[in-house]
Amino acid sequence: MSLRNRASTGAAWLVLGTLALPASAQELAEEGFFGDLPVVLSAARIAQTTVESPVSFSVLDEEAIRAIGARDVAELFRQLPGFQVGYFVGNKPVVTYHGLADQYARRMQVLIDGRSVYVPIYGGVPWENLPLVLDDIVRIEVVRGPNAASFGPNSFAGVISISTRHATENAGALVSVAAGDREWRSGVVRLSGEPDDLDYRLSLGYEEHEGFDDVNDSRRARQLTTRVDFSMNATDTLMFQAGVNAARNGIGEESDIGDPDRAQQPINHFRHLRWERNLSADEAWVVQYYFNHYELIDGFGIDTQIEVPPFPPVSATTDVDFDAVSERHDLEAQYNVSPLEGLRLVTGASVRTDEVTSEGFFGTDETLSNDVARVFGHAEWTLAERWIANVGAMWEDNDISGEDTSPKVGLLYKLDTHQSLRAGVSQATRTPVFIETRANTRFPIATDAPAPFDMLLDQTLLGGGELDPERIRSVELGYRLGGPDFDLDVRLFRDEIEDIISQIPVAFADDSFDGEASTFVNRGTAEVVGIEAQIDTEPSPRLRLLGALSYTESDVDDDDAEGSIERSIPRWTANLLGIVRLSGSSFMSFDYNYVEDIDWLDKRRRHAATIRRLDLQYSRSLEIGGQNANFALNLENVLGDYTDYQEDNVVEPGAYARFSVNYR
Amino acid sequence: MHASRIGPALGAALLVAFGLHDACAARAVVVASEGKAYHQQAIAALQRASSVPVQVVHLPLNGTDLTADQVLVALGSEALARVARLTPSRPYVAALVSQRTYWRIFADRTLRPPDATLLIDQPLERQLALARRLLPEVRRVGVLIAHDNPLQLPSVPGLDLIVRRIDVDSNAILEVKPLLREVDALLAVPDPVTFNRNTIHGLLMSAYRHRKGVIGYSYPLVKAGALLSAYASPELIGAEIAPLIERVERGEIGAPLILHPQRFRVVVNHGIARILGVSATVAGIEDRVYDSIEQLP
Repeated sequence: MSLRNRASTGAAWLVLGTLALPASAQELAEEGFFGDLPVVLSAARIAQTTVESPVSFSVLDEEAIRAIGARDVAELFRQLPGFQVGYFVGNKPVVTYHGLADQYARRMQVLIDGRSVYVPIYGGVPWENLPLVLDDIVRIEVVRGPNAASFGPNSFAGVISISTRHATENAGALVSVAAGDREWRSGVVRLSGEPDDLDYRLSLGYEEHEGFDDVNDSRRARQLTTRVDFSMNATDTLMFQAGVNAARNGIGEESDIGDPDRAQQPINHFRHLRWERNLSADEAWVVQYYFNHYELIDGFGIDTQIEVPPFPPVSATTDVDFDAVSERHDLEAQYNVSPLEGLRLVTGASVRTDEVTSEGFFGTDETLSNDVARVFGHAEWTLAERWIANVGAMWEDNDISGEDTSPKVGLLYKLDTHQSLRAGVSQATRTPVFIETRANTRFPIATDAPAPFDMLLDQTLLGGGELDPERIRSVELGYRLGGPDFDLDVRLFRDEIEDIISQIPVAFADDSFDGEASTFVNRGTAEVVGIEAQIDTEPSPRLRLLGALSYTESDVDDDDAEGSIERSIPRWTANLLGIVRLSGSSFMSFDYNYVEDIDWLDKRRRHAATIRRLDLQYSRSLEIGGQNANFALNLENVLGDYTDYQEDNVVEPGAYARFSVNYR
Repeated sequence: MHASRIGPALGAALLVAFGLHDACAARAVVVASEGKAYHQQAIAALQRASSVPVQVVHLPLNGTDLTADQVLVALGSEALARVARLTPSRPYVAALVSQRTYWRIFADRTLRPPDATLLIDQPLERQLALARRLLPEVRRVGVLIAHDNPLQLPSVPGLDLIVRRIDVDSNAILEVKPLLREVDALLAVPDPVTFNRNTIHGLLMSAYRHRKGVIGYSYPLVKAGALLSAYASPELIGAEIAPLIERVERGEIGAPLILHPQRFRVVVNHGIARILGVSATVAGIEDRVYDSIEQLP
């Protein structure tokens, strides 16, 4: 036996007396070397290496998320190439990729720990009302471009995948408070623990602000979320999440009798159960069920004076009821396996039911439903040492638009271990949502008014009926350079979007208010060609830079008279986030965002001027009473005023401070 | 019943008074816990490799007669804790114990250590040399370790070791994140404050998110999500006990000898290797048993 294998014990004996660990669970006996451990990084959790990824994707890790210093989740996405973040009003953020969005921005798939948060009634994501505490987000991965074959229906323009912290990452308690201009106040209390094989996290959040000056867009919101992870054995884990977000949001204007100032009350809650059998890094099963419930309480009265000669004028109150309930049940099974060297397969199936009820929006108290079934598969096959092929498809059948198939094919060539070239073709569809097909939003003078006073005061929305799904076909060429402290991705793309569903005004004779309504039609075909680049580099241990650049040229056939569809796609967007690590406990960051002027495609088109925005942050961690604390000061929009989404929304320079303490 | 509650003298008396004669024919008696597969595998390997008869007795040792001309082999931490308290007057061997267990038991200086101890732990020099050999781009290796862990951290030419020591009540997952930004890989060391069942998920996920490989210290840790590790299986350890028994029998050992396993295997998590782009360099290294790092392909 060689001497080099003789264990050294000299120094160890000197500190034996300090080994005061209890001789129980803390002891690392032979079980710690031979006993089973839960498979943490399984086939269901690990993706392709950066260089071998067949798609363009961006990552916001924990450090970047902290450095951005966002007040809400939506703000984080400014950082990404080709993304736009706007505020329809102060309590209504909108996130879109390559424009083509109104306040509901329906063309992105958003997943939180694998759960789609797309709202079936309007489409899109209620960013302001997600049961999701910003402090709980540990990572965001964004696939740019259509990817229905891997992520399911409505993965149209891109896919945002948000991961929240596993409960073990937060053992102890967190108290965080923040305050800033616009009377913004926010607080979070989080409790986490790890008794035995069960880990839990409970987060309570509160937020309030007054929104933009002279706009009725205040917000008061409370939320509660929980996550429990249970290791059943070495291979099986259960995750349960639930959460609720209840808010009171200001909306409307005092001078607008059709949209008076009032408070909406959205309530959003969910339950999510996920079972994983992680057999190895090459084989895993995932079965999950979730239930999303989105509810809106909103209503007001319109006082009217009806004159129908020769009768004397009659006063009446029209009750406007925008109450709505939207629910989604989703059950999905997925199997990941690597049956052969160099071949990885993901297959699965899901069934989903969407149900919506709103007499105000649909003119009926019946519940409308849409059943969706889908089967999907994806294969990654290493053809040769340098060549990797990716093939995938999703077949879907739904009650609104019937059957559809979304394929995706890609080929990747590795120039060396750090560089790759890729080419891909993909297709995806976006199924129309209920509001686009079935809306019948009308306000009679009074529901029981006798003739001739039983007239229609206003018809605001009319569903488009049998709309075709929107289709996107995307061709992409990409280059990726990935190294330990350097990641560069360049993407050339051409997207062709057909049957764009647009909201347009339409004459409506029975409407006694303005004689028109708005409806949804398949109108326009857009061709978007562009180049995007992103970089994440650390030129020195103290400096990290994350840059994003996007340039597009778009051409829309059959656009509206103003050319708004084409103008909704910004030509230039750019972002640079810099993180200066001053020490192990403090950093400064700057975040510059540029978005060329665009139109937003609401019923009344909004033109938003070019945004040039610079945010600065200083963050310092310190120890107070033996506990870790953090203080951050954020200066926002230091370059001066700009208007966001519409002319009333003036974003002024602002500031806020955040203080948090972690209790162990 | 734990031997320490009885007292060494009473325990020894009981052994003599209620002796079992099955053990008498053997020249080596293995004392082990019952019911653990890895103990059985090590014992089977020892019996195959040994030129002398080997008898096995299981804990608790109620009434077992361990005669004076036999070499005792304490297999596992529980057996070692028990046998050490019997203060046997003759030489004995310990195996399948971790270095940390060894330190804890013999922190009681009244106990006589085994003449020869074969640890489970791989030498850290070997784990680092493995990384140096298979991960040529790794220059800076991070180590997260408790302040009170007496493990000596070696130096390996060509590698910078960045050590972060943490308190017993620290959150290892929070502590590892800044460390991961500084290093190219993380060396996991046996330390219950850092790597335990509650922290493994967070530590491995954090390393994965930073795209940094974890050099493990055991086979299960690699299967859970570490990148690679040298390890000695129970069979390899069992086979190495046999020559130790012979050396002890022959009285060749003076001062207590503490040894790491000589022979080892390498286990790789190929999913992680693929993510880190090192699949080609680690291909085929799991197929054989090694005596030294130099034998790696």
